[in-house]
Amino acid sequence: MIDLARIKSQTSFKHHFLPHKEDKKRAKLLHHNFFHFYSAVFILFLVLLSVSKTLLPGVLGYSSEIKVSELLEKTNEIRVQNGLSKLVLNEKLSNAAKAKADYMFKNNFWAHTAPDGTEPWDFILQNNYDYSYAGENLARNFYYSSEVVQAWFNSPSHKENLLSGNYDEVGFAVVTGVLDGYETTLVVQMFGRPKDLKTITTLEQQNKYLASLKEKELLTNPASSVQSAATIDISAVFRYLAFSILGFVLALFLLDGFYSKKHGIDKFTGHTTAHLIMLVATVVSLIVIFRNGKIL
Amino acid sequence: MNLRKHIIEYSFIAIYFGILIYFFQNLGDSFFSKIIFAGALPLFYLLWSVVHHYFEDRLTLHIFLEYLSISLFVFIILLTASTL
Repeated sequence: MIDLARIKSQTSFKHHFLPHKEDKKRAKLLHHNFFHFYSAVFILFLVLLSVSKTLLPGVLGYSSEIKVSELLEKTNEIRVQNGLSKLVLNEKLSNAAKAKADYMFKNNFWAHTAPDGTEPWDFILQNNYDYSYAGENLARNFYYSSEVVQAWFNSPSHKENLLSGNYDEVGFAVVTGVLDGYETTLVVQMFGRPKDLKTITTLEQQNKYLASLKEKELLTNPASSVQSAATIDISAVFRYLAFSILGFVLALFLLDGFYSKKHGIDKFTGHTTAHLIMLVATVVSLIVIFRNGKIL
Repeated sequence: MNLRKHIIEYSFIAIYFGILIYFFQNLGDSFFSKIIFAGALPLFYLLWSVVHHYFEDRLTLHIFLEYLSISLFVFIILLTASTL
């Protein structure tokens, strides 16, 4: 005896993934009401983000593995490649950079000039660095040191600082704190040329300072010397979610296209190829958005 | 997937998306530019679909809703990504 109910149920389940010949429709999981469901997942994600940002500040954030020694190395690598002299790491400029980062966390802003009008130069002067030239580059939400320096190099205004012949010294601060509710790693790079050129840091002084910094990094994070490890890396969570759903939908559209062609199903729907182009463009856009952190 | 029949239309949207992504990449990192980008990509797609299906004489509410839901889906994903 034929179990009609069972056959009907199996056919119905099959059409969640495959197009329907009689209905001339796509797989059910590609119907517009399912797209509303996929969209709702991201809206829920946005709502949870804003709620947790207020209720659990610092739980969500961006993981980072940035080290001052690597930032210095990458900066100097780029300068040497462009025919410029290396910059030496100056403790006063690094302290000024640290003060600037702390000030940004304390006052919850991310800009060269603070809302109260405090300029980057104020931090440099407060740390007794009397300069004839000074500059500042900022970065946040990067994972690796090389990505930070590369992002600065790709931006004309930041590149101008990186490749300026007016600077002899540089200072860095890599500080983790809570900004806008998220645990964030800020990178501050301060450039300078002292008025008195005799006070330029020697290589010996630089190496001594670098060694003390490395010691501090190990003391802060003995296991990995990682600067920051937020409880939940929101950027990574979103990427997994977005790429999983987009991958699933892309695979369904491909299956829909090939199955329809193989079985001669002439659906009365929009164009599968156009949808595929749109979704691939979305994937590429997400890669572009997430390729870099933010610089200022 | 009738690629040959619509090759010019598909090439048009693919080139447009390519140009948009290229300019977005070089626009810098402002939140404003990301929002514009998040809107421009799906909005163009929706407009393209209406014009294309209108001239094909296949513009129905069902087809419009299909493109609208995909455009909204893409907009929400890009908007969420921009706020992170």
